[in-house]
Amino acid sequence: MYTLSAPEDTSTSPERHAARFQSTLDRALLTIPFYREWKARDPGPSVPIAQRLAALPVLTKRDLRAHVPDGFMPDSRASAAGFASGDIEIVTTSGTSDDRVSVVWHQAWWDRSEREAARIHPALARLFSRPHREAVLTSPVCAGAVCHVGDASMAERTIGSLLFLNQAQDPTAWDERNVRRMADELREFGPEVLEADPAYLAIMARTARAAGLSLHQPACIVLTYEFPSRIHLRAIGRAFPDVPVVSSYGSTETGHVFTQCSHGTFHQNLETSHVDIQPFQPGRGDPAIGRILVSTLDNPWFTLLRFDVGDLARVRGGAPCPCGRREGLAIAAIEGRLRDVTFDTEGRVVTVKGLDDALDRAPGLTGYQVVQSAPTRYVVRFTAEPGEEAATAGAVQELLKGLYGARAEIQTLRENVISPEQSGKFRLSRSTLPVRPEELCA
Amino acid sequence: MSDALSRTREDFPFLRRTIDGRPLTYLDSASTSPKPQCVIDAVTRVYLEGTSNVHRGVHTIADEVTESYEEARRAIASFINAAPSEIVFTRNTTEAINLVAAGIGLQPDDEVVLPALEHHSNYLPWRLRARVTPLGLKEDGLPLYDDVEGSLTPRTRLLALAHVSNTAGVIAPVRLWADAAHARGVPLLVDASQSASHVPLDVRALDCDFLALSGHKLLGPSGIGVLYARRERLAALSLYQTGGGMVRYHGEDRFEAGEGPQRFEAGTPNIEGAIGLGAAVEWLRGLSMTAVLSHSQDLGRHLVEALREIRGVRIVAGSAPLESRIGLATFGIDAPGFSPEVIARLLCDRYQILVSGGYHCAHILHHRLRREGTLRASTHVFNTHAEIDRLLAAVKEIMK
Repeated sequence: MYTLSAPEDTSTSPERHAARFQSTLDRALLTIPFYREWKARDPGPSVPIAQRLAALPVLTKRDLRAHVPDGFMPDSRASAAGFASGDIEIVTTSGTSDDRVSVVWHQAWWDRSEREAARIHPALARLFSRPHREAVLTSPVCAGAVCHVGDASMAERTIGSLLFLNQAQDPTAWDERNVRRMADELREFGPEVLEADPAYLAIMARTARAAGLSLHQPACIVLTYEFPSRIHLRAIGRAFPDVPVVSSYGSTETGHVFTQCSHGTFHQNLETSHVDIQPFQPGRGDPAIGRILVSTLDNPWFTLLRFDVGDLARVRGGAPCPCGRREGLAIAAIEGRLRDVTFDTEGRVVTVKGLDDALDRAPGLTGYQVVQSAPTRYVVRFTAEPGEEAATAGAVQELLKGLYGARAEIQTLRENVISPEQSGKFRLSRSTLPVRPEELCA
Repeated sequence: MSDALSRTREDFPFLRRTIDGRPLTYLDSASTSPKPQCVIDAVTRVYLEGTSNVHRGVHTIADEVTESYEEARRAIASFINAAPSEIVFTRNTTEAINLVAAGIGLQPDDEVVLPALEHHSNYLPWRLRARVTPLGLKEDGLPLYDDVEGSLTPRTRLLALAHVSNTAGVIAPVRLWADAAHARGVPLLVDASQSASHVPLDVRALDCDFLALSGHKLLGPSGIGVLYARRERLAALSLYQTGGGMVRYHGEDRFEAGEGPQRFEAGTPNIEGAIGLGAAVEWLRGLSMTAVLSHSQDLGRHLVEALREIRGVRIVAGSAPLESRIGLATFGIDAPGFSPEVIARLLCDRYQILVSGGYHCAHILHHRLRREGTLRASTHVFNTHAEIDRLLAAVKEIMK
């Protein structure tokens, strides 16, 4: 993010992308140990690429857990030399509990994926064309800033042109002093980009507003790490009224995959990824939504094919995006994690975004978490503006009945705060019913 | 009289056991409560599937069990309307209160104001470190709660009271005490051991600074308790114990304690206990605490009204309004030659009714009442009016 280089070949024609992906696929099937077993299922290069892909299995986190690192590194590579030179290292994702995996991390490839993804939004493209300062606000687990040396000073949390703001595991435990410290550091550091977990930034924005603190206004805010609720977006918008807010989608495993353009569409970063969307089975969910399968391009140390990131996306239909970008996949919305879906009383999938959109109309709602405990039972923990709790609870009941069905039994529990999980991420919804990707998506 | 919650009996395997081949009547939940199946399952699951330490492991099972442990903290916080960062896991109420008593810098001349009938666990930790100012009692043992203001002096450092006394069974006017404490700038500690499974708890509404409770009285496992401390109070408490898990830096020069509640959770905690307690509060909350309170008050009213009719029975705090009572009554019986312990034993052996007999860790109360112990019948969600009638019939028969 802070390393600059001359722009790569930016020719992103569909033909060039298809050729690059085909070559990655062929090479991976031949040279990477894990994919050798897949070779038998590959109909071969004479078959159209989409058909070839559909014949291959989906790569899962379980596969990564079982085979990283050597299973995914090319035979010819001297991995020991790569590790010794610092070119690569093994890192563990923050995930949410059972989704944690280790991956081979190649910083140079990651930087490239970030740079390429930044080209999609004009504000980011401008910033990433020159050196710039950036601050990061997320869980210390995500930022890799969990340390065993006690409280770190601002200088210790500044790496080159990057400042890590937060040191606390639970942002709901931030008090005014914490937020004042971060606000002061933002002002002093003066970042042009603020990269943030939307839930954390929303808490910071609300606390700062309540304390009458003004926050440094960067040139651009990049939201990443987890699904941004409309509640988060509103709080952020109030604190940063004139700052463009861009959602970026990616993962430690896949690099940066999608970035929002100035019209809100998520466009694919074609330079370092190929993406398939595997839609919901008929009758199980909206067929415009599917799970995101990512193949990485040009990572010499770690090739993923059809990797199930665990998230859902809604493919953009209708007219092309007004931003003018035609190449690559266009996504109308990231719909949240597959493991966080709930089901309506008829057994159809309700995505996190579907739920979030429905609850957006609840007056006074400042936070929520929905847990489905049985096919028709839902527990909603929520926080609300003072004095609006009863009205909010009533509205939540009504809205969720509309979403899940008239037979839905909805219990609302007003909370003082809703805290994140151990991973540092807030889960807006989940179901205790089994969520089996292979049964839901075709 | 309704037994709206009697269907919950099926969830308690313990209630199916017999003594001498006869079903038992359990009226001793103030001492410790039976556990619903979901709590047993939650604890068992940890042993069967989740053997790992928390906040230390770097493997899948450690991640899972840490998440379950912290989820329990969130469930308990939610149950009492606190923030998870204000919840410290302890062994029990006793340890929670000792943690506060040791952490607020009490001096021997400082004063702690409390009702005279407090349980030892909310009496001795203060007595050990400061002067205790016990509030007066009416003749029947009902605390003179309203006199709190007159008991405060410039030396008062803290007020402590049971939300529901384990002997009186009366819901205390916590807000009155909170206002009195805060007007002097001193904290209020609430012992919620007895109230937690009968009364909806809301630490914000109570406006207390500390609140302590035990898992085993709240349908959860033994050996797990909770201290709630208002955020700024928790931050100001000095360390109670040190060791693994509570430190974030330990070098040759110094050490730095971790943040939030974990700074008070040194050593490997009672993991399965916390997870079991989380399951217990979720189960109880699923019944609706308003319904739980209503059921408890129904049983309490039935119990006290009927006991009042029995000649020779004296109820502790019997003059308290019925609407302020939960399903708990402590009473003395004028039966020469029959100590409370003997009567309790008879109730068990002849009628399979389990109650408490003795001093109930409230020696000062019994001293003031000039009684060599009392009997205590205490209900929970699964108890029925028929069981209260069974107890009353047995007491009458013994008194004959």
